Amino acid sequence: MPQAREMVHEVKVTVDESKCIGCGLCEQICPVRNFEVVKAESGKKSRVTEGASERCFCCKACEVVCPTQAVVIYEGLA
Amino acid sequence: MPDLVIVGAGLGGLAAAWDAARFLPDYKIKVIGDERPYVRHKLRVAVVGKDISISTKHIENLGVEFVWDKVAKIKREQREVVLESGQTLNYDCLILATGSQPSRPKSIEGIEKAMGFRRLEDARRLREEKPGRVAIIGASFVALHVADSALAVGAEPVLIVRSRLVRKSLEPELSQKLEERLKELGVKFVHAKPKSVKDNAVEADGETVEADLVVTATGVDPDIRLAKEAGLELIWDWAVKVDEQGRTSDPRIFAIGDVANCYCPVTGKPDYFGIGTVATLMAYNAVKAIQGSKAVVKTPAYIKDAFMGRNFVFRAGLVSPQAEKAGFNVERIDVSGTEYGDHAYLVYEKETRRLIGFSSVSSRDIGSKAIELEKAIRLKRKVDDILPPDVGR
Repeated sequence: MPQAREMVHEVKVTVDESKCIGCGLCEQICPVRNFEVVKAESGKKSRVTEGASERCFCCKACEVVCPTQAVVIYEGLA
Repeated sequence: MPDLVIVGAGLGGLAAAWDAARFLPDYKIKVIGDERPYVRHKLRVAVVGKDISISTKHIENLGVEFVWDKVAKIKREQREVVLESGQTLNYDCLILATGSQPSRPKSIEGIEKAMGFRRLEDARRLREEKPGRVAIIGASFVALHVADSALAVGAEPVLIVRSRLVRKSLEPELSQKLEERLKELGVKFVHAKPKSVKDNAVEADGETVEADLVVTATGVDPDIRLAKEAGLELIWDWAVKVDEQGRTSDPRIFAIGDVANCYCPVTGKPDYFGIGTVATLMAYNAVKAIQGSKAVVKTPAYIKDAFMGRNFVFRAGLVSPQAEKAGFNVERIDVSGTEYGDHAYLVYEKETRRLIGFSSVSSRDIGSKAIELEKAIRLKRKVDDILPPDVGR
């Protein structure tokens, strides 16, 4: 019988600020409030909210609606 | 105040409730769920005892009421939903998000004995029964999730595969590459057509695969009972027929997620894609339609998943066999070893060079590259516009 291995499901919600245009579509579509648009020095930008990785459903709708591919969900098993 | 009733508290139902709470402030919103919500996509980690439940507090804080009950019937003429407890709820608009159940192909005798992998109790059973060997019928993403879970509890997973791994999401060579990788990690494969399920075995093309637990993972069947009994129009006889905004044959009733068809981003035709991405976007479209908007966020054919450590699978658009079936004359470019992953292919239409599909099996996450290609497919861009330098030119 194989040895049981630890299963860790890692989720990382990311916004690349250099690509983000602050359109707010990720904030609109996310069912668990993982994004908020804030005023930054370089204009409006989407920021990942606290606890986002724990809340994330991994539905990746944010990736689909982001017009500049600034939002990426990294998901992996260790 | 008009009433919106959402039937189902899975990902689609919860997304619809959250969207409705924000975009339909004039509506009184009720969600009917038959089980406390959890992230089904993360069922694998529930197998090792981790909490995957979802809090509904942020939705309730916006005035949405959750009713934990089952819907017995929808009375369309009276615009009523009858619950099993006997309670009746009125609606002006209804969103059906009843999801799906594991398929149980009639061609496999005794398939009802096999466990599905869909609910928390399935994860609990896999953990508590401590099986030594798990036979998994199917080659779907769920089948791979079960194999992952089996390894996590120290069991040996045996996949009984009729054709090839995740064939709708990977080019044939990539299914083979994935299988080779998973074999190295302890997953066994039996390539045969399953005929019957016994108490502790699966018979497949004359071969007996003995197992302590048998799991069926051949796909899903949309839970259309309520829709069918209410006389809503179906598509392919097994899913609720909806337009691009999720509207059913009854303009007051919408259907979203696994219970309904979506639309293929390549052909524009009705398609079926039972994943969370589509459910979330369909929920948004339905709520926006109720709000009076005609805008539609197109649903993608897009999957990113990881198995048994760093074995990533990416898919966008159609794989070549699917594209050919849809009438495209296609060619492929091997982009293995590039920014698109260890083993990867682009599929394009020969005459127009329009990009149609992408699939990849890789030991590393390719970051934003997969979604870039998904968008290039939706925007009908040419393969030459997105090819990495010095590849396939």
